[in-house]
Amino acid sequence: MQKKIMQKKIMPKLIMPITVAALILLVPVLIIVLPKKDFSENENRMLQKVPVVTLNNIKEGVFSDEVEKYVSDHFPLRDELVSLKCSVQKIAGIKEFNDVFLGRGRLLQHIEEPQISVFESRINRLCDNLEDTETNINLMLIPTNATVYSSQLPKNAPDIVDEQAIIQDIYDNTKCNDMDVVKELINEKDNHNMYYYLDHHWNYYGAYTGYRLYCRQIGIEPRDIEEFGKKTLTKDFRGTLYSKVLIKSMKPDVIEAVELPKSGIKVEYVDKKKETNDYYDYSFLEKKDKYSVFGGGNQALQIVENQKSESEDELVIVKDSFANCFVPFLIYHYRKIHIIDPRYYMPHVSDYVKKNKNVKDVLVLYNIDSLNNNSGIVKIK
Amino acid sequence: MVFSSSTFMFVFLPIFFMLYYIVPFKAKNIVLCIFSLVFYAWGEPVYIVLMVFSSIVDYMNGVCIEKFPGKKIIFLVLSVCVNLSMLGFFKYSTLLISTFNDVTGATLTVPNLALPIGISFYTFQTMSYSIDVYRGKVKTEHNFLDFMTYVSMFPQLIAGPIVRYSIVGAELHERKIDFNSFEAGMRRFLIGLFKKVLIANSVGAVFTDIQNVGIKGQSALTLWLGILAFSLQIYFDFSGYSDMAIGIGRMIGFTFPENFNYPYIAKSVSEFWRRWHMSLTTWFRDYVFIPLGGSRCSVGRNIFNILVVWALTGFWHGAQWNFMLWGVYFGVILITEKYILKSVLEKIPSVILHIYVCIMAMIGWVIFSFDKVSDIGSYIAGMFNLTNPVDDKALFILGQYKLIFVAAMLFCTPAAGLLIKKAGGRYEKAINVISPIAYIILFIISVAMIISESYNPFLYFRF
Repeated sequence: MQKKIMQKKIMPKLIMPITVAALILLVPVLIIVLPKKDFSENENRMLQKVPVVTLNNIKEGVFSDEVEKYVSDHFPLRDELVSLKCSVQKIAGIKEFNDVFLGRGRLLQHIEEPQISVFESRINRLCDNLEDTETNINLMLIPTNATVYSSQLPKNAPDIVDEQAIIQDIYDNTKCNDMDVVKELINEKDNHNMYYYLDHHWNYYGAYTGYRLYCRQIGIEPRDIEEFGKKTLTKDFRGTLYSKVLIKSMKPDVIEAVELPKSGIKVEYVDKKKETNDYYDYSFLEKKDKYSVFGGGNQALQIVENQKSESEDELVIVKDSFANCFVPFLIYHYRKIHIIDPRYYMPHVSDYVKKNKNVKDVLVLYNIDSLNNNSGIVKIK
Repeated sequence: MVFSSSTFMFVFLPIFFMLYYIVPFKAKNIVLCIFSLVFYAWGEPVYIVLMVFSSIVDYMNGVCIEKFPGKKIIFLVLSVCVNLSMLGFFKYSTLLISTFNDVTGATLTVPNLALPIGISFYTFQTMSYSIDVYRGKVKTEHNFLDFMTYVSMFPQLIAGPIVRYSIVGAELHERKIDFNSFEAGMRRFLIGLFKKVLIANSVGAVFTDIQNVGIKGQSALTLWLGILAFSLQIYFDFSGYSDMAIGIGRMIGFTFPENFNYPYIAKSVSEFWRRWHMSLTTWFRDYVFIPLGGSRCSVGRNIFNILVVWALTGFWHGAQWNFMLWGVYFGVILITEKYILKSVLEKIPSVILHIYVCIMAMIGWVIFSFDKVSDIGSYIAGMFNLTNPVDDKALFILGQYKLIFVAAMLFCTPAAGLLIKKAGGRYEKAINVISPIAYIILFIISVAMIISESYNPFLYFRF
């Protein structure tokens, strides 16, 4: 009898300390035993390697730093724990994670005020360098989703950059033809969704809106959206904004793309010395970075040729990743589209244009946030 | 190493506890001492020499005071000089020399020294040991290993409480380690962990953001919310750390002194300081204030004593002049309360007294957080700037953090504890089921928070 009462009193006291002690003991064992990843796709970085014991490493504190990183990086169920943390914070009321707003219905980018002067001078330099050619130079700057879907920002979201005014400033200060896509996207935003919900890129409809404006401005007839034959590439795309918030319960995006002609397409990856017959690289659909299905991600120089195109004209696009899903719309209007990403392409863009006599148009296409952190911009000339 | 790191929780603790509990009692101090030295040396091994040096000096002083009672004052002076010069050189020389250069225009080389972790704590502990031996309050420790274990003991090594030898001396040689104290200690440790990781780290982001962006242009409400967040952060951080120390101490058989007693519910600033960082304020009371004459002297002398003690208390918190200013600020308030406001405070309703203490503490934290006087001035001015009372940012912070703020403020009072105690009789069964589950869930969330600090999504562009 006495014993039973004792047990009753002690039992609840046992549960907590034993569970916690077991967890604390189990984790180091699991870290050693479980298979380890080298790379974190969500973070896009290499994970910490096994720390090396050397006298110097210990003295300099390198060893202890690496042990801490190693334990954290290879912690059992690490992604799930990060997701748990974000979900708890979301419930507590937090509305911004790593410069991403939890908007009503979508994730929205919170960017810093872009520095525009360098970009303006690079673009004007490009225009100067191409002045004595016949080429037609166009500039299209794409806002972030927070500008287009500003009504979905959390209440009182502070320090929102006026992207529309900044883009207008850049148009006023540069010599090329402006393509004011901001207004178009805002006008169309309720008819179709223009951006992915969990990624910072524009989607099929956003890119089509850009394409339609481009055609009208350079004087060609845009095709209707129905004519392109939309196809679904995946329904399980969790993009870059998701990686910063990592709340597992959010519904993944659908990636849709233009149906390309069955034959006559040749895609040349110049730096990789590779050629394919399809602009889409479906291998990326198996990976986290599914947006790279478009053109296999960013390439230094990529040439997309449509051998059946009625036009002899060629186009040079100087761009960031926003162009990747935009290019397929233009495929019927040009014989060749040369796609240059100055981050990886070293020679001068203007020299490249001059060398290729059939280039009739140049399009500089960037997303406004690229002005803050795109290393290619300083190289444009 | 800090308690709220994955290395401590999942590498250091499991290995330490397994060894500590397995070895026979005689060897427990050796295990504790070795692990404490590893804990200290982790990440910054060089300065371990200093701590061992300080231990040797005060161990010898203790022995010598006993052996040569006639000349014991020499060893007392030696202890105080050695410890204060160590502290002075490693903690304050950079500030003192650069200030000297600024004032006189001299160009002395400013030493670039990293502050040895915990030096402010262990020098005070070893000094108090020698003083207590000198005063005959404690017996000399003859076993160097036990003394080294006392000085280096990892739970309280780097952030207190300041444990005097008189408190743990007996437990160093004889202590009880059983399941009950293990369980109670673990609960205390976890409560500290929750306070640090779930509350302090969460609200901390608000103030850090203001510090990064700058004070200029912030609305009054933003600045109030910022300093509210900091007030909560520093309390939950520091008291959480003390809880973790006391908890681990308990798990290994030691009873450390309490360090915090709900300071924000005080009704006067003097009471606030009887509830905040108690092991430090009592240290200054016993080893500085009372030797100076305490309050049993003339009014003028008493005021002088209070100002000296509070200037030193402030300065102890960091090697910047704003910390001294912070101490003097409280010294002046304490003097005012003692000599002018005493009769007034007794008549004021307690709600107003609580508000008064909280506002005084918050203004104190402004002084504490900025090392430039101009920043302190513009922060306080901004808090009362009626031309820019509210903006989107303030409302956004309020919208995001209102729940966290309310919960944190509630936990600044003993309300939750009292509620559980009160319900304990009637709902004992329910509490017995819910409580362990709550601890385990909060533990898992805390681990998630700690691990998430390593989650650094690199820029989303693939470079």
